[in-house]
Amino acid sequence: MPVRGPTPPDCCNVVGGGGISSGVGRFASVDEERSATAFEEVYSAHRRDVVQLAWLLTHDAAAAEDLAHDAFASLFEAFDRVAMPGAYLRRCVVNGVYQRSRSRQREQRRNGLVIAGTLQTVEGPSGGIADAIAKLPIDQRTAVVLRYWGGLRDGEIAAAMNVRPGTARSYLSRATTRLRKELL
Amino acid sequence: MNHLETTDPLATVVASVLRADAEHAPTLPEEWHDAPVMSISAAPGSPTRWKPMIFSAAAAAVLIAALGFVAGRPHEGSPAAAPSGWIPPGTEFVSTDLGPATTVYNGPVVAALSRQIGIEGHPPQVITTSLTYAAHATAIEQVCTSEDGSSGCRPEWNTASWSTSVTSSIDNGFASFDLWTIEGVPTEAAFVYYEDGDLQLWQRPIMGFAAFPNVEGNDEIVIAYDASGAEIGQFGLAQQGFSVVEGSTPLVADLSKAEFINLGDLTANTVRKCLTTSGGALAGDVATFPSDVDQAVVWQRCVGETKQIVGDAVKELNPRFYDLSTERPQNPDPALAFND
Repeated sequence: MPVRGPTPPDCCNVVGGGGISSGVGRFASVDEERSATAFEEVYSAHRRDVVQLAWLLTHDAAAAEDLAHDAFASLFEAFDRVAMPGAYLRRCVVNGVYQRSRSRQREQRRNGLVIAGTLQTVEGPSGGIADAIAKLPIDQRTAVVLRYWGGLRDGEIAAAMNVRPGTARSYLSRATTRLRKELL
Repeated sequence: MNHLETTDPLATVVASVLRADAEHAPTLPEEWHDAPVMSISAAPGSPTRWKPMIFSAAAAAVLIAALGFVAGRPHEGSPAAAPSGWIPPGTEFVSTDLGPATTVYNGPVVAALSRQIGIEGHPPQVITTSLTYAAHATAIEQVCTSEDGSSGCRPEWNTASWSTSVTSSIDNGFASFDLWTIEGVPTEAAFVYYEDGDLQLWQRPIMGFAAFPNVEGNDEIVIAYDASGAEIGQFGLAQQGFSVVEGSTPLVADLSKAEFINLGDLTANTVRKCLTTSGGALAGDVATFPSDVDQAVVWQRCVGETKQIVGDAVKELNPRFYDLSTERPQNPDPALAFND
């Protein structure tokens, strides 16, 4: 089995794939074939969770597929060095969501923001709680999804969001205060 | 993934909703098929590049169509279009007059001096002229702009012909972009033109208010035009900043918190009483009047009466007055707190 490092490396540029270019034409060695087999197992085990996480953070089916796909592509590239594929994939998705959000904000600021509402694809269920969660700022929404859907602890949320545990707790506290105020 | 066990009712409900929502997620293929080659290669024509390209093309088409739609859309609620037919260059960034506000900041107020203005993608912008007590020698009149309770106010001693601010819509989770707002646009202005880099937008001001998307780090240019296209004035970076004439900011009273709260209540109650005895019907903090009543006149009379009563009450307390920019309160339980 490949030797793996103790912590997940950063997941960079997962949205467009730019900056990750050395993976093309792999599968040359026996070790790498084994790695590919292991990767298939990881893919099979995590594909549902990863795309669901992307969906919950974007509510955009196409974006969720792209983000999940790019997360696995990034994992494939770094697979030999990743000790915790699940944590790595989560971080890739969260990074991708943040990049997408920033990119979309820039685009909207530049181009006829009059249609900001039009371009935001919102699919799936709506209603009091779902709407209230969707309206949370992205940091708080991400923390809520990772906690209450992902079942993660503060430290794991912090790792996925690349923030300190205290910051993650702050996001959660503010989000739950807001949700409580709106819903209960 | 494991779901956190909890007994918090909110957590239980949120977890349940998220689990149900997650079932609407799309599905990935069961097997990983050479996708890394498609995804991680940045070469032109790489298969996964098509999806964003198609999406971008579709989004661009929607954008163009929407811009065309908005630009050609008849304006609702704002002052009548210029009879000359002249309009500024660029695209109209539509604002809509939604009528008097129902919830205001620092009420009570008269309905005629409060307005909700709709900007697509944002909660209504609420413009209100109100009277408040802010620890000065008496109550002060101010024009406030609020978005879902988040407010900024322009006090009466701000002598600038117009002023600007930027909303915190993104931080507050209200919208996906902040607004660059302009308050106090001259009444003769039929259009406000806004330019920021390649962005050229215009708007018909409502109650002296106009708002445009905030583009950080750029140099905004704002020009007010009358209906014929004659320029009334410009607002550029050089004119930004605090618009108060030096030395005109009133001194503040060194009051206790309790005294400050009491004077705030006295202000609101006096305005409320004046408006109702003048024939106003208060719904919440907004007073409506019969159509033959000039609300602006009533408001000014109530402002005068309230300032007199609150000013007398402050005099009775005989507080020390100090300059906020150079001094700090001495009251052991000060109304105004500082973190320096």
